[in-house]
Amino acid sequence: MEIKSIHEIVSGVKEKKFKAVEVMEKYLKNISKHESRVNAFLSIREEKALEEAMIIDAKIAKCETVGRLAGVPVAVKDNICTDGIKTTCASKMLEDYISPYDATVIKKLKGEGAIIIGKTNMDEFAMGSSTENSVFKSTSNPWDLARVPGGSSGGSAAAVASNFAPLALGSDTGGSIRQPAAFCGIVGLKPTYGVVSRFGLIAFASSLDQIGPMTKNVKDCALSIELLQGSDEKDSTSCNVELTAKHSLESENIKKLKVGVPKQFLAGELDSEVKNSIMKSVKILQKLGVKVEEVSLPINEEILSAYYIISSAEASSNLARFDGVRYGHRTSDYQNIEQLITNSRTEGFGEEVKRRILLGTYVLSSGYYDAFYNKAQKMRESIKKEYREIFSKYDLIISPVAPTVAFKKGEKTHSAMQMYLQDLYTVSVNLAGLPALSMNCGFAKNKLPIGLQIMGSHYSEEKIFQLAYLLEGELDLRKKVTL
Amino acid sequence: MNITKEEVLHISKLSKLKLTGEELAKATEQFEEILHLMKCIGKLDLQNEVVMQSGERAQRLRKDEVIPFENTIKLFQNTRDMKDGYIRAPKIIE
Amino acid sequence: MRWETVIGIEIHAELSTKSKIFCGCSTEFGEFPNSNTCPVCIGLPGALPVLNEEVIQLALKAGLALNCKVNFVNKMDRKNYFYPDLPKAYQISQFDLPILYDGYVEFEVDETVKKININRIHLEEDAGKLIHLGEYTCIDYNRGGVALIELVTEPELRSPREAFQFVKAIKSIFEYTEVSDCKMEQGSLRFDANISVREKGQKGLNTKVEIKNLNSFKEMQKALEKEEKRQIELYEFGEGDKIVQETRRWDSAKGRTVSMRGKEEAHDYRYFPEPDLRPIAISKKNVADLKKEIPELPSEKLERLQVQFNLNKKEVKTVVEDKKLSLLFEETVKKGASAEKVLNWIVGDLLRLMKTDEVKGDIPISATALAELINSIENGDISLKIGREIFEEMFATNKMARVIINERGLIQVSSKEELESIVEKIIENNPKSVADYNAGRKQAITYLMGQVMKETKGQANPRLTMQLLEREMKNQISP
Repeated sequence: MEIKSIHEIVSGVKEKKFKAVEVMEKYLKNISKHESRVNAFLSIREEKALEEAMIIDAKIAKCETVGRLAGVPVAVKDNICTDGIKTTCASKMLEDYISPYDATVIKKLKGEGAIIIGKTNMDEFAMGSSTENSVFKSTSNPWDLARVPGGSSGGSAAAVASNFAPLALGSDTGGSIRQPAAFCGIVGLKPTYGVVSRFGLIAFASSLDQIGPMTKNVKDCALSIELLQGSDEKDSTSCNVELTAKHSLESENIKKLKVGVPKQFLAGELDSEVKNSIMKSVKILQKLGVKVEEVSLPINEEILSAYYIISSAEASSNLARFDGVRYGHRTSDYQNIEQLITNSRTEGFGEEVKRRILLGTYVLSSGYYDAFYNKAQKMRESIKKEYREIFSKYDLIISPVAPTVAFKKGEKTHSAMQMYLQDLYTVSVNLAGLPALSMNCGFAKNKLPIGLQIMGSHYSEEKIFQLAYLLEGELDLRKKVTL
Repeated sequence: MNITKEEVLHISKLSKLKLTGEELAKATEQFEEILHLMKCIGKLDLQNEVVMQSGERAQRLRKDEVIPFENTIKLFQNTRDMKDGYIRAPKIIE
Repeated sequence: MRWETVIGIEIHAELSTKSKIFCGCSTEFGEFPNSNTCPVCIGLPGALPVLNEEVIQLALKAGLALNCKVNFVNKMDRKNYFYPDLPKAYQISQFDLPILYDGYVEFEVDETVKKININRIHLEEDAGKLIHLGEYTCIDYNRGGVALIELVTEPELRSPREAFQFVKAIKSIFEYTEVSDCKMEQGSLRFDANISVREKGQKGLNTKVEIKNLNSFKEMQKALEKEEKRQIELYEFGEGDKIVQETRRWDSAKGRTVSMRGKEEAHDYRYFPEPDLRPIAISKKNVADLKKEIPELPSEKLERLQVQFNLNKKEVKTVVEDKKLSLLFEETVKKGASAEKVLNWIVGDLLRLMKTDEVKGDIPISATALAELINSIENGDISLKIGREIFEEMFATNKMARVIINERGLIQVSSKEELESIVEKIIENNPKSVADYNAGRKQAITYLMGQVMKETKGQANPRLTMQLLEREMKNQISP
C-alpha cells in the first residue's frame, strides 16, 4: 500500500479499499523499524491506536458515518494535553503528568476519526530550536541522524519526515513549527494567531503560541488546518474566522498575486545554498506568471530582542504554577512550603527553561517593566505596522526559514545566543500574529532539506496555500528520506 | 549597565529557583549577553500607544451559568497528597 | 486634640454570580472541599480563563450606586506572586486601568453627613482557602476563582467610628443593589484598613500601617482604636520612627495588633496585561440601562420613609441599613399594619431574637406573618403580652400566628359575658382590694387585674377587663 496523503487514507478507508487497521499497522511498522534511531516519540500507544482503528473499520462496515480524518494516525507534540495519556512537555517537571482533559484540537481530531499514534519529543516547555533541550531524549533528523531535526517541534517534524504518521501537531511561538519543518523537509503551518484554539496547549508565551499542522505535502496541510481551526468558547483569544483553504488550492487568482521578497532577509549571515534555493523558487514563480519583487523589510536585533523579552516574560508567569503542590514533580527534599516550591522547581526545570524564567522575571521586575516589556510591546506595534504597510502593496512575502540547514547535534548548545539567532526569520511573524507556512524548496549539497517561508496578512492562509501548492507542483523534489 | 550576581540572586528568589554558586556565576554571564541584546530595544523611540493586546477584536464573554467539570476526582489524579478532599502541603507559618 | 487620624479602607466583596469569574464552576458556599473545581480554577496546565459577563454587570452596578466613573475600555492584568492558595501563582486582577474610578459615598456619623471618595473599584479573582491542621496546610480551591470587586477609598476617614459607619454604608449599598450577599461569616465581604496619625494641620501623611484579619465591623473599629492609640502614644513620646510601613494582624483575643513583618517580604508583583483575555469594552447604553436598574438606595429610602411616616429616625435607620429588614418593614406596612407598630416589632423583639439566636441568614418571619400578628393584637384576639410570646414561637418554628393561637388556645377572652362573670368572681373574692380602691388607692386595681389574668391564664383582654373592673367597683360603692 503506497500512501501518499491524508486524503488518500481517508477516502481509501471510507471506500473500503483498505482498512484503517492496515493503515495503522503500516505506520507502526515504520516506527518499529526506524524509531530507535530517530527517537521522535516520547510515548507510543500501539495497542490503543490499533483498537481505535478497528472501531473505525467496524463503523464503516456498518455504514455509519465516520469523520473527515477517519483512520488517520496523528503524532501530537507533547505539550498538547491528551486525556489519559501523559503530557510531559519533555520536562522532568511533568514526567508523570496525565491531563484529565483533552485539548480542544485533540477533541476536534478525535471527532473527525483521527487516531493519536503517540506523543512527540520537543524542547522542554517548547523553549529551544533543536529539540536538544528535551530532558528525556534527543531526536535525530531523519535526513542525517547526526543532526538536529530543529525545534521545538522536532519530534513532530521527524515523525512526519520518517513516515511515522502523515499528520503531526506542533506548536509555534517563534518558529517552532516552521524551522523543524524546514530542517526535516516537510510542510508546517503556523496559523494566524487565534485561528486554532490554545485551550489545552501548555502555555509558553500566551500572546505568541499557536498550534499548527505538520504534513508531507501542502494539500494535507490545508485539509488539516480546516479541521483544526475554529472559534473556541474556552479560549478568549480564539477568533471567529472560517478558513476554507482546502477548497481553493488551484485558483486562477494565483496569477494576480504580488509577492515580495525582503532583501534584508537574503543578506547577512544567510547560508549561500539556502539563498540560492530561495532564489530558484522565486524564478520558478516568476516563470509561472506570479509577480515577485524585492521589498524592504528590515530584520534586526531589536525584533529578536522584543521577541525574547515578551516570550520570556509571559513564560516566567505561565510556568510559575509548577511548584509541586498540586501536580508535577515534587521534591523529597523539603521541610517547609518554601523549600517544597523552590526545590521542586529547581529540580524539575532544565537549564534553558530556568534561564528564560529568570530573564522573564527580570524584565517584568520593579523598575524594569518600562525599559523592557513596555518597550517590547511598543516595538511589536511598530512591527505590525510595518507588515500592514507591506501587505497593503503585496499579498505574500517569501523568505528563508532559517539561516542554515539542519546543524549538527551539540553545535549550538554552548551558547544560548547562538541558538536564539536561529529565530531571526521567524519571530516577527509571531509578534505580529501573522500566518506563515514553511515548505521544502530544495536540498543542499549534503542532501539536507532547505525550507522556504511564505507569510501573509492576517487570515490569508488561503493565498499562502495557493502559492505553496503551485510551487510544490513545480519543484523537482523527488528526493526521499532513506533511513 | 552590568548585571550583578546580587541582582540575579534576587531574581532567582523571586522566581523560586535555587542556583548554586557556579550556576549563579554562569547565569550572570549569560544574562549579560542576552540582556545586551534585549537592551538594544532601548535605542528605539516608539511613540505608539500600546494599551493592550488584541484590542482589535471584540471581547469574548460567557453566560453566568454553572457548568460543572465532569469528573472532579480525575481533576486531582496528579496530586500527590490529598486527604478528606483537601490538598495537603507542609504547614505555612504565618 | 493635637492629633489627626487618617484611615483608608480596602473592601473585597464576592459578587453574587452563580458561576466563577473565569469558569463555569459553582460559587456555592460550604460544599465538600475541592468539589467546585475545574482545570481553569485550579490552574492546570493548558487551561484558559473566559470572563463571566454577569461579573461586569454587577461590578458596574456597584460602581454606579457609588457614583463612580466608568472606564469604558478596561483590562485585566496578572499580579504575580507565590502562595499556595493561588493556583496559577498569579492572580488575574486589574492594575492600571480598573473598571471604575472616582466615586463617592455619603453616610451619617453622629448626625453629620460625611462624604468619602472612592479611588477605584476593580475586578479580580478570589484565592482558595487555607486551613492549618497539625503539621499540614490544607488547601480548598472551591473559593478560588470566585469573582471579587475590590474597592479602595481615599484616606479620608478621620476616626475608627467613621470607618465603622462607612463599611456599614457600603455593605448596605451592596446588599440593596444585590451585587453581593455580603455574608461576612462566609467571607463574601472582607476588608483591610490602613491607618496613620499626623499632627492636625500637617500637610503630608505619616507612615501608614495596614491592619488585617478584621472579621466584623466592631472588630475593625476596635482594632483601629487600638492601633490609633498605639501610634499616638509613640508620637507623643517622640518615638514616631518606631512606626514602620507594615502589615499588622488584629488579634481580637489579645486585643491588640501584632506585627506580621518577617513573614512578609516586599512583594514585586510584576504586573503585566493578561494575555489570555481580551480587553473589556463597555457600551454607554449598558451603563445607562444599569443606572435605571439601580434601586432606591438606603439614604434615599431613609429620607422617604421619614417623610412618609414620621417615625423615630434612629430606629428607621437601623431598619433601612439592612436590606432584609427594610424589605420586611415595607412589605408588612403594605399589608395594612401601622408603620409605627411594625417598626417597634422589628427594632424591638425581632432584632433581639436575631441577636440571641445569632441569626445571620434569612429572617424567619415573613411580612404576612408579622402583619397578621399585629392585626390579631389590634382587633383584640390576643393581648400584646401574649403576642410577644407568640412572636417568639413564630420565630423559632416559622408557624403563622393564627396557627399558634389555635394550637395553644390563646384566643384572648374578650367576650363580655365571660369576663363579667370572672370579674364579679374576683371582686367577690377580694373585698379588701376593692375597699382600698374605693378608698382612693387606685393602684389596687392592678392586683385585681393580675388576678383576672391569672384566672384566664393571661388571656383576658386587658382593656375590657380594666373597664369591667372599674365599673364593677363603682357599682360596689353604690349598689
